[in-house]
Formats: sequence, C-alpha cells, structure tokens
Amino acid sequence: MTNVTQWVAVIPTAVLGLGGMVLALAPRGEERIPAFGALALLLVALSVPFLFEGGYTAGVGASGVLNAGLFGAGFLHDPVTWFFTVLVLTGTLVVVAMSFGRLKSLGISSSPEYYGLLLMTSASAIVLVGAGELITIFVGLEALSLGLYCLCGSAVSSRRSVEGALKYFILGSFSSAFLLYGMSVLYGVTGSTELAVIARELVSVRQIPAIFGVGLILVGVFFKLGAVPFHFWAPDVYQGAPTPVTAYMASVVKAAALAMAMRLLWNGFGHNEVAGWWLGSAWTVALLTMIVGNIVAVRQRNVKRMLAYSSVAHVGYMTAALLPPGARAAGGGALLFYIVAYSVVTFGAFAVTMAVTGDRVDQPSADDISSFAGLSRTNPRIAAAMTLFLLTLAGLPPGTVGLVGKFYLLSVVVQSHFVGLAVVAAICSAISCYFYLRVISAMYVQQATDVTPPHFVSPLGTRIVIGSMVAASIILGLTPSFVHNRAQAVAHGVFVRQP
Amino acid sequence: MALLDGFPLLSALVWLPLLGAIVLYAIPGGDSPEGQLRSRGLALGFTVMTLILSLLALSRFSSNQPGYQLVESFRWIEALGVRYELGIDGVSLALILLTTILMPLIVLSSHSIHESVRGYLACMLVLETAMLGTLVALDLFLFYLFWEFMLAPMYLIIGIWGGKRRVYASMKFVLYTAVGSVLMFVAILYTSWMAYDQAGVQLPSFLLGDLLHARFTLQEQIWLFAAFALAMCIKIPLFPLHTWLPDAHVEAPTGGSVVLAGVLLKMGLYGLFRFGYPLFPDGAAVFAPYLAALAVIGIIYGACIAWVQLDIKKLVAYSSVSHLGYCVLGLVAGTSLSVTGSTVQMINHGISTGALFLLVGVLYDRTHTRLIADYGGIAAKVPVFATLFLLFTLSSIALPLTNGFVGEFMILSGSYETYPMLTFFALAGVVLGAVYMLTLYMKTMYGEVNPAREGLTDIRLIEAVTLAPLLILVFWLGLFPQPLVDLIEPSVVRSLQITKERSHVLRESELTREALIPEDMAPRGVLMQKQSEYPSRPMSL
Repeated sequence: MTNVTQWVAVIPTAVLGLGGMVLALAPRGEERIPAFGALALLLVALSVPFLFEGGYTAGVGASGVLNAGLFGAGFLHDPVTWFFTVLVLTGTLVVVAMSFGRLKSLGISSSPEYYGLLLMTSASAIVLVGAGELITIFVGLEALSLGLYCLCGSAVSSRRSVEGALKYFILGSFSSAFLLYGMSVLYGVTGSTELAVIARELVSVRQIPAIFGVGLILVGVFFKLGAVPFHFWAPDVYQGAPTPVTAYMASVVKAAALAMAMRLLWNGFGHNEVAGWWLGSAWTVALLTMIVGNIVAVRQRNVKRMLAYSSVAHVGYMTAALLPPGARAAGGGALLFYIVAYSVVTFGAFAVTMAVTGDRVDQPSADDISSFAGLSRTNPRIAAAMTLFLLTLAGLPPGTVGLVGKFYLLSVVVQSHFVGLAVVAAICSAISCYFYLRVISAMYVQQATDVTPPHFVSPLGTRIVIGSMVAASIILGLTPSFVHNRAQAVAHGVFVRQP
Repeated sequence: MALLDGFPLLSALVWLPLLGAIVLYAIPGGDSPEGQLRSRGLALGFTVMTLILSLLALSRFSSNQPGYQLVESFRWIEALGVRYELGIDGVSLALILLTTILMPLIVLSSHSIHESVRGYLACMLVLETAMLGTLVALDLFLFYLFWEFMLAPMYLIIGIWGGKRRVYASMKFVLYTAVGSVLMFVAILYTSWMAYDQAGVQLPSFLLGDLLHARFTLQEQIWLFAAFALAMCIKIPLFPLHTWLPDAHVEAPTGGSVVLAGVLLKMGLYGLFRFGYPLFPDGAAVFAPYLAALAVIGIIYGACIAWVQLDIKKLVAYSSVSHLGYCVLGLVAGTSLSVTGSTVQMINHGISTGALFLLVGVLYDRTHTRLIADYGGIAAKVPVFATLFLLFTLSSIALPLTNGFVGEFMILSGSYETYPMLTFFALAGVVLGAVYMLTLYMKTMYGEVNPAREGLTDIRLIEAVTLAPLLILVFWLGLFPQPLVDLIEPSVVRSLQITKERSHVLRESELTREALIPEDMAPRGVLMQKQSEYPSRPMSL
C-alpha cells in the first residue's frame, strides 16, 4: 500500500482543479489565454493515465480483489477509474475545442471563468468516477453539479440559459437531498460509508430501512442520468444551456453518472439478494425511459430539445444493461463502449447544431429544425456529417458504431433473459428513426428557407471537432473491438467480483 | 484461373461500388455540367466493373459442388464472435447477377435526373454495395448490417429525387421496414445466444453454419420465425403489409423504382430462404399455410387493385404485389420445383418489372404525367416504344416463350402438390394479370389519339440501349431457362434438405445432430478457437 505510483490517479484531478482556479483569475477579454491554458492543462492531465497506467492497476491484487483504495477507499484507483478519467478528459478537450472562438456568439462574456469552471467541473467528475465511498460520491456529485449549474447559466444575457440553470439547480438540489437522505439511512443501517463494506453488510441487516435507503439513492442516481420519471429537467436545461455545455452534459456528465451508477448498483448493491430489491423498479425505469424518451422526441421541433429527449432514450437503453445481475462483465463492457460511442456522435451532433445556429442564439428560430432546411445545398459537408451522426444515433448503417453499440447492449439484455425489454428497446429504436430522419429530411429534401444559414465557415475548433467525430465514429464502427476489448477487460476486473 | 486464387472476389464485388461512390465525391467540381457527365461515366464504369466481377464469380462457381463457395472469413468483433464471412450459392449468385445487370442500366437511365446527379449516382452505388452485401453475408450480424444499410440510401433516393409526396413516402418506407427489422435484430441475438448456450463453447457465433446446430423448442421457433418473417414480409411485401410499396414506387424516381422492384423486394424472399426456413423449420411449418394464404390473397388482391389504377406507375407497383405473391407461394410450398420456380420468378420479375418502370420513366420524361387517361393511341406516334412496351407487357403476364412463363409455371406446378386449393386460386391471378396489363396497353397505346400527345417523340438511342439487355434476357431466359435453373436448383435442393433434416432433428431427438448436418455445413473450426478472453459465462437470473 505504500506504493507511490498509485497516487498518480489523483494527479489529473489535482491538475484540473488547481489549474482551473488559476485560469479563472486570468484577465478577461482575450479568449485565447484561458482557452489555450485549458488545452495545455487537459493535455498534461491526459498524459497521466497513459504514461502511468500502472498506477491504476496497482490497486488490483493478484486475485482480482481491489485493495482499500486511496484516502480510505474514498478514491478507487482501479481500471474503471482509468477508463472514465480518459473519457472525461478527452470529452472536456472536445468541449474546449467546441467553445473556442464561439463564446461571444453564445452570449458568454467572461471566458476565463467559463474555462476555469469547465476544468473544475471535470475535476469533480473524475472524483465522482473514482469514488468508492458514499461521502466522496456525494462530494464529487455536488461539486460536479455546482459547476454545471454555473456553466448552464454562463450565458448571462440569455433568458433561456438562466432559466435552465435555475431549473436545474432547484431540481438538482432536491435530488441531492434524496441522495443524501438515502446515504444517511444506509450509513445508519450498515455502519459504514464504504461501498465494499455496505455490500457485505446489506445482506444481513434489517431489510425495510435498507431498501428505503437504496431506493432513495436510486432516485438521485436516476435523476443525474436523466431517466424517466426524473427527466423533466433535461429538455429545458439542454435547450437553454450554451451548446458546448449541453454537449458536455450529454456526454461527460452522463458518463460520470453512469460510472457512479455502476459502482453503486453493482459494487454496492450488487449482491444477488440485494439486487432483487431494486431490479424491478430499475426495470420499470428502463422501460419507461426508452418509451417516453423516444415518443416525446417525435414531437420536438427544436433540435436541441430533440437531442435531449434522444439522450433520455439512450439512457433507457443503457439502464437496461445495468440490470442483469449475472452479466456484469459483459454488461460493463457494453455500457462503457456505448457511452464512448454515444459521446462521440453527441459531440458531433451538438457541434453541428451550434455551427448551424451561429450567431443567432437569441432568435426564436435558434436550433429549430427549420434552420436545417436545405442545408445540404448551402453547406453540403456539414449536412453530410450531421447525417452520419443522426444515422448513428438511430442505429442505421452507415452509422455502424450506433448499431454495434446497440448490439452489445441488447445482446447482454437478451442473454440475461430480459427479452421483453430488448424487444421494447428494438421497437423504440425503430420509432427513433422518425425524428432523426426528420432532420435529415429537412437538410436534404426541403428547400432552403430564410432561416437557413447561407454558406458559412465555422471557427477552426468547431471544424476540428466535427471532422474528428466523423473520423472517430467511422473508425469505431469498423473496428469496435479496439475499444470494446479494453472496456470489457476494465469492467471484468472491477465488476465481476461478487461482494 | 490460378491467377485469381486467393483474390477476395466477393469482397471486391461488394465494396467496389462503395469505392465508386467515394471516387465520385473525391473528384472536385462534380456538379458542373462536365462534372455531371463525368460522374455518369464513372458510375457506369464502376457498375460495369462490378458486373464483370460478378460474371467472374459465375465463372468460378460450380453449381454441383455443395455448400457455399468463394468463402471469405475473418474475425471482426471478437468478444461477440461476429465474423466477416461471405459466400455464395446458386440462389444468391442468381440474385447478384440480377443486381449487377440492373445497376448499369439504372445509371444509364439517370439522364432524367437533373438535380445533383452526382449525389444520386453515389446513393445508387452505396445501395448496390448494401444489396450485394446482403446477398453474400453468411454471418447473421453482417447480414443485418447490410440489410439495414439498404435503408439510408433508398430513403435519400426517394426523399431527394422523388415526386411530390416524397417526404411522406420516404419516411413511410423507412419506418415500415425499420419496425420489421429491429424485431429481427432481437431474434438474431436470441438465436445466437441460445446456440451459444447449448454448444458449450467459448465464443458465441453468428455464423449461419454454426447456428444450424442449435435446437429450439417449437415455442421458440414460432416466435423467432415470426420475428424474421415480419421483417422479410414487410420487405417483400406480403399482403397486408404492402401499403408502403405503392407510395414508395410512385414517388421514387425511375431508377429508384427499378432497383426497388428489381432487387430490394427480393431481399425479403432471399432472407426467408437463406435464414428463416433453415434455422426455424418447425416455426416455418406452423406459419406456412397462413403465409401461403396471404400470398394468394396478395396475388388476387394486387391484381384487382392494379386493374382499377389510374396511374401507370401505381398499376405496375400493384402488379409487383401480385407477382411477389407467386414467389412467396412458391417459397412456402417447399417443393424443390416450387422454390426453384420462386427464385426464377424473382429474377424474371426483376427483369420485366424493371423494364416496365424504365418504360414508364421514358413516357414520364416526355409528358410529365403518368395518368392512363392522358395517353391513348400513341402506338402510331411511337412505334418502337409501343413494341418494346408490348414485349415487356407480355413478359410480365407470363406468355410462353418469355421469361415470365417459366417461373410462374414452375411455381404453380410445384405448389400444386402442397396447396392444391390455393394454387387453383392463384391461377386466377394469371388471368387477372393478363387483364390489367393488356387493358393498360390497350388504353395507352390504341384507341383515340389524345391531342395533347401529338408531339410525342419515339424512344431515344440511350433509352433503347438501356432496355436492350433486358429484352435479350426476356427471350433468352424464356427460350433457354435451363442454365438458370441448373444454377439455382442444386442450392435449393440442399437448402430444403437441411430444412427437412433440421425439422427431423427437433422431432426425433434420438438422432444425433452431428450425423445430420452435412459436412460442409459444419463450422469451420470457428467455435473451436479458444483464444478469446470472453469472461466466464454469465449466469441467468
């Protein structure tokens, strides 16, 4: 336990947290300084998991059993933390690239604070993904949420942005209260905040209060994931937040919440007997999330709102793979792959939406589907990229990675004999073809309207993001094993152990 | 052909059109007038090259040799045992040839497209890759991938280059087919998982050859076959799932209609033949009478509805519903004669209906109307066109000496063994087919000359060149159908044998499975490889 290398797992958080504070103090006005500063800090942080990969496996003993972790099991330096750290850092990098050169048109006046907050939020996200103990989970989640509330409202001149931030803040506080209450009950019952201890104790403690505690925690988890019926914040917040922040929420934050859900549900409440308590309700949540997300998305005319409901729907598919108690290695692999694939196309889709909206953030037609009409004629490349992203989300080739991701997820679901859930997921994804294809139809079939932007050249950052997300989704679609094998190995090391 | 040994012929065949689409877009300035001409030339070149590759595949194919040929097999998605495995038998080769013959003609017919020709041709080339991939895939996941891959380009073809109601028609097309397909997706996952569960091996597999070892209870087979059949029957389309077809056909541009009627509809039948029947023979047996009944209803219903159509294209579209009914009847009747006839009829329908759509396109380009009432007496104005139209009409109503006769005759005589009553009713469709097609011919070509059609010009050289290969095929296959039948029949016989033996496997459990699976269908060592790090097999709830 005295091994020094294990402490490297903390470095990215420290770099981002401290660096973010310094960045926020940079002089206003010149966007370049904080943006490049953030870029440099992220690259430094990103080099850590790659250079010192051993630090993330040092915690796993020969028998595959984790040691106590750092800070008394507060921060687990296991392969799952490695995976999510890389994901969070890469995602933040993409968000920085998306934001660069855009802040003015998004209505964000103070660039140092924006980039500083972004880094600090990502630092909290890394705390959350590695947290192996209730208090750390809560602290990580709260720090993450606080950063997000501010980021959502960072376009201070936009009423929608401020409204979204306030809504998110109020509802988020409620869910945190639920979570904290559940945690206190669980602590009262088991006498520990450590997930590993809780997992052992839960089997033998008094059931009624324990189920109560687990249930309350589940509410908090599902709120963060944006699962039905705790999804009501999602569309307003997604629409109101500046688009890079929306993309950040849909990918990085979702990934962190997923990591938290996996650790809580599998490592904490994963014992077969305990799983029986929440399996039924989680099954219902998965079912409702798929159905409601997809059906309500059909009615949306605003592309950001549509993508918000689509993200709700995708959470539904992911929740379905959270269920199987017997297939956690495969399920974990599938979920990690899915969140990577989903993040890639979500970044792409939001980057395109932002590029199309351009300077007209405050107009009523902003992000409306009508501003995509005829886009294939004015901006054929952007339209082609958006088509690829939307087809991927719908799971239709040539968006192969979407289909492969669904394939991994649903095969886990089918293997665990949740065939009914898989059938519903399949039908829902057929419904989803409608609202994804409607945007494609607007771009290719309809004539350009007066709200369609004329030919435009986006800032370099946006172009790089769109281009690299196209490349990433094609490469991931052709050689999914490259990421999936890694994901499976990671999940196998951490989640397959029965507590 | 020692030179070609080891050359991945099928991969080249499948991916060449996609390469063509990329090349079209890689060359700048493709939307200028010269660029459009160059795009057409390039697309024609790539489709002809694909045709040559398919002929090469034909020359290297020997129909007497059992099993799949020209097989290519690589691991693709390791953890789930998905392989990139391609192979052909006589049935898929026949459909491949149909596809590769039709595609250059569709490119030739693209002169009626004026807006962004390059995009249109690229969509067609991508669609060709998807169709060929569907026909050669032997791994169920790969098959599903290509199957879904057909949707997006066809959606764009109808949506961008279609008629007035194209938005509605293209969305309807996608939603109908997607709903069917996704259930098949779950069925594929379930099938593979059950096979894995039973075989006790390290890796799951999606290979048809491996899955043929799996045993399913009757209950499972009924559900799995239903999921497959729903996807396929929407695609075919079988009555009453056909309502997307007239919309899609009427709104699609000429080339889109040709490829839709010519090839896409056949995919449903092909899927049933290749996967549905061999995998779930008992489930299929439960559904067969209902499918046959629906097929016969479709034959008669399609013919009756076609009879009363006012729009020529819609009439031809409904005639497809009727003709595909014969194919379904032949397939589910399950005798080697009827199934072979069904496949022959698929080819013939592709040729004659494809040609009819091309001819309707020729008329529409000149007059911009497709209403029967807007024509009349034009035979005197356009004698060559009228002759061609007559010949393809006769082929469509299956006159002896044309290709249509061969397939229909084989289907009806083959199905009589299994479903005598239904076949009797299906015969009515033959008569009705003659009635609506000849009525169409009479109303458009003879009678009072419509004054609006005075200035109608006859068929142009490029249009004649487009139709000539199809005309040759009509008579060639009508007079000498034997080579085609010889190509298809051994594969059909083998497939029926597997289907029959597998249904024995399920009924008489005292027979060992291995003894009944023909040697070449046995897994090629895939299941035996244990290099995967797939985790310990998950428990079920």
